[in-house]
Amino acid sequence: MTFTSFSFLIFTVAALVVYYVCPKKFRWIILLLASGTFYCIVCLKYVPFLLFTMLTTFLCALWIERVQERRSEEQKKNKELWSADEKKQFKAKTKICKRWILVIPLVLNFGILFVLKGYLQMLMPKAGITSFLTGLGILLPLGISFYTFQSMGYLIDVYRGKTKAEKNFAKLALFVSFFPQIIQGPIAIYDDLAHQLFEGHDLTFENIKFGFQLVLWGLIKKMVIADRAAPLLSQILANKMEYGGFATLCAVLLYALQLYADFSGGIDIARGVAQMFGITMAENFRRPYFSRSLGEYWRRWHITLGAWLKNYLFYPIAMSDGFFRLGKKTKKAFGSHVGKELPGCIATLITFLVIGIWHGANWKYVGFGLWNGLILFASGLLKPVFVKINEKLHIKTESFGWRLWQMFRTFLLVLAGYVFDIADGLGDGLRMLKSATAGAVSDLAGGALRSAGMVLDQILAETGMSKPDLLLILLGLIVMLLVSIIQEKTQKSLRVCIDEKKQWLTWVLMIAATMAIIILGIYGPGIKAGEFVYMQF
Amino acid sequence: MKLKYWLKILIFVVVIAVLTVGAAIFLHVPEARDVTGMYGFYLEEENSLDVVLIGPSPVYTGFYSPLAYEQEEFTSYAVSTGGLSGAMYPSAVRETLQTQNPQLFVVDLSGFCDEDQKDSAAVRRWIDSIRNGENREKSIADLVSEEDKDSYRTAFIKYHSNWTRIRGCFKTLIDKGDQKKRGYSVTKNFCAYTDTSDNAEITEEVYEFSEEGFASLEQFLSFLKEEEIENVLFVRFPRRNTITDGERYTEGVQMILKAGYDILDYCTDADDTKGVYTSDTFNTYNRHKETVNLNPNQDFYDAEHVNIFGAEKLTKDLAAYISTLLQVKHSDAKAAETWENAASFNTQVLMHAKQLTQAHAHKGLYTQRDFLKQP
Repeated sequence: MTFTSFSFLIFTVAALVVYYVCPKKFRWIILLLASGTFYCIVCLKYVPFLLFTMLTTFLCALWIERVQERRSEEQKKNKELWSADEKKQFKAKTKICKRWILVIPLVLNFGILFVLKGYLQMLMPKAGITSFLTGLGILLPLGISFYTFQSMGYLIDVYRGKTKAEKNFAKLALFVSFFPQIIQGPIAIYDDLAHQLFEGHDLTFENIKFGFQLVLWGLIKKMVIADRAAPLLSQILANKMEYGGFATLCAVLLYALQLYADFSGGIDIARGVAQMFGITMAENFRRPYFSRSLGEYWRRWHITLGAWLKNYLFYPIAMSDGFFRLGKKTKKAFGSHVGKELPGCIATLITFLVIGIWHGANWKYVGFGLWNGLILFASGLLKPVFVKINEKLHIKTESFGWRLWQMFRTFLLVLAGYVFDIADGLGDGLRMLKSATAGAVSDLAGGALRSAGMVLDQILAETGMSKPDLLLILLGLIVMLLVSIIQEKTQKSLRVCIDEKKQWLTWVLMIAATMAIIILGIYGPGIKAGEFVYMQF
Repeated sequence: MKLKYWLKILIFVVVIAVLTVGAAIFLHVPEARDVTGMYGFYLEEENSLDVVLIGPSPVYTGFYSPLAYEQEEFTSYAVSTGGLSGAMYPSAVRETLQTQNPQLFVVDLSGFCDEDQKDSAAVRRWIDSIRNGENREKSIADLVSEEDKDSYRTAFIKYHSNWTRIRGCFKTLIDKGDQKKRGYSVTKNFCAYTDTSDNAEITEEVYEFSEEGFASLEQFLSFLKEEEIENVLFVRFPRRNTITDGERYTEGVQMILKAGYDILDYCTDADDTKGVYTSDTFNTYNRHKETVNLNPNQDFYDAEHVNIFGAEKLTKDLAAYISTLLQVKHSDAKAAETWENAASFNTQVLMHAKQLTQAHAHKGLYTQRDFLKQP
């Protein structure tokens, strides 16, 4: 039962009906039952993994809080008896104790993720861990990355004293397993999501309408655009040597479209379904391809993962004592800019390495992380140089042309990163990078465009697709671009913009969108229900 | 939530449902020729057909019902879709019997030659061309693999992607609309091949039933027995090449004769005696190519199909045989007017189609739409 299946539609409608029919105070239980049922239907055999994460998170959060409370009481009791040093020592001990309690679930849960995602196999290829697990029938539990990150985030917040530990296991279970988001996020922060899940919302027409519109938009992106582009992409990638550099370049461009349509489509469906239950989930994309720098791109792409890594990885590294000392030393040696930026740049590099590794147990993802991390590292340190060059060349950095150039430049950098994503391995990624640049240029010079028609016909014939399919992908791209431009200009959701002005247009668009999915969507016999690219991560 | 919002949601659902049904009808075009051909069959007056022909493409390209009516005054219709195999014949007979009670079934033997008797494309052409109902359900149960059954029951799930062939969808809609407006099919599912195989080499060919086809024949004969259908004429439609009979074919023929049915063979040459089977009661009637005056180069489109000239000759001979020897005569005056119209219309068009063939001006299948386009 994936988001694009008919059974998911029926499931969601049934869950909505039961949710709103139930008395308000029991509504969160309906959500919990629905989430449990969903996970059991989708992957019953992995329920123990999910339960393990829930249990360790729940118990350790309570334990951390209890230790904190007891220690606080003890400190209060001895407030006047202890010296300042004793108080300091006591605080430090408390911190160490809490840290140890935190480390246990972190190691256990990230350890499971580490083993199941095949990192151990990558480091120790002879150990045969993956084949052992495969023999046991254990692959990767659905959504394990997302629910692990979400629960560990909650645990760290409890450790930091930002969040109160949840006393009700069922409520925590709902937070970890809320069905629209468990497959591929967005990764929620406990304080943002939990109270919405538990309070029980009124049935409002606005929530149903706007939620449904978001689901429709997500389905269009996923079923009409991404799933149509996917077979073309697979075909080109499988025969990239035969098709040449220009085709590789086209494949990377197609991947940029497919990945965005697929991932953001899935997130829109998740957010839309949640909205129909009256729950507002965090935004995960903000038109990333309009970014003017790679840093901005990562603040607009998979926002919730970025935020998670910033809060729980980047800041702890960058603000650590070691990095603080490093900053001081480099300031003395290389000046204030380097002293200020270097710790942050190194922390960024480490964070991106982790992002790369998170994507999968393959050196190509390490390459992907390094590519992004090194560019951000360099651009952070060289910022004054760029500013000086711009000044010398009298570049108006806020002019439209310059902004457009920045967007284009950033997009190219992003594309180069994507090459590692779609390559078979690190070596293949480097070869593809060469092929998509130098190879494409020489292909074009050699008249590749003239033979492009023939190659295209061959690809279409082998994928069983037709030229109208290609036109539809192009049309989908134009529509997505237009919507993004409007959103970027108004900084508002297009749904709200239209609904405020012309309500009849809202209905026309909803009918058109629904029919577009029914007629133009990729589904039916012989077509495997489209899995989402990010489900594998 | 206020009542007006519920009403809005309800209207939305109804609009989507109506549009989806409309789209399902519009996009349901797996093979336009077959769909329109069978659509015309359902427009025939109940129990107005004297003869029904069953089989794959050699049937609907070989027998020209309006011409047969003009000459012998019996009504006939080809219940035939591309690739219809012997395994689908029981379904075709059942479908016929829902609205018609013909005096004679003419069954093409080539349906038993196909290696894959349940070829998915051919099964789709047939099942997607017939009406929803008990027989369709039974045909799905008998002919379709378990994992494919749902896609037949909710055909839109498969055919929604036909938007890429939107011109074909419009054409089919127009063809069906035209038949609906007239109230009958002008060509009675006939399509002509308007080209000749002038320089084709005449080779030797073994006419053989496939293993699956032989099993289908056995099942079809028991089906006919169970349904107590006696008036069946098995026909071996003409081939361009010189034919030798395969072992299974010979065995199959004997089986048919034993079951009490006649066989009419258009594949034998004048000096060929191997194809003659006789018994005390039943006969195989050999209609030599020379007798029918079928010229391998001028009257054939390819090895298995006659062209418009061949169809004319074949129809005249077969119609005369049916009328004279089997004593089939038109018995229903109700539909006479529409048949008169169809026959007179076709006489004019036939001339035009023949001119096109001679000029090699229209290569391929000359469908009802092409017929109707002519002045």
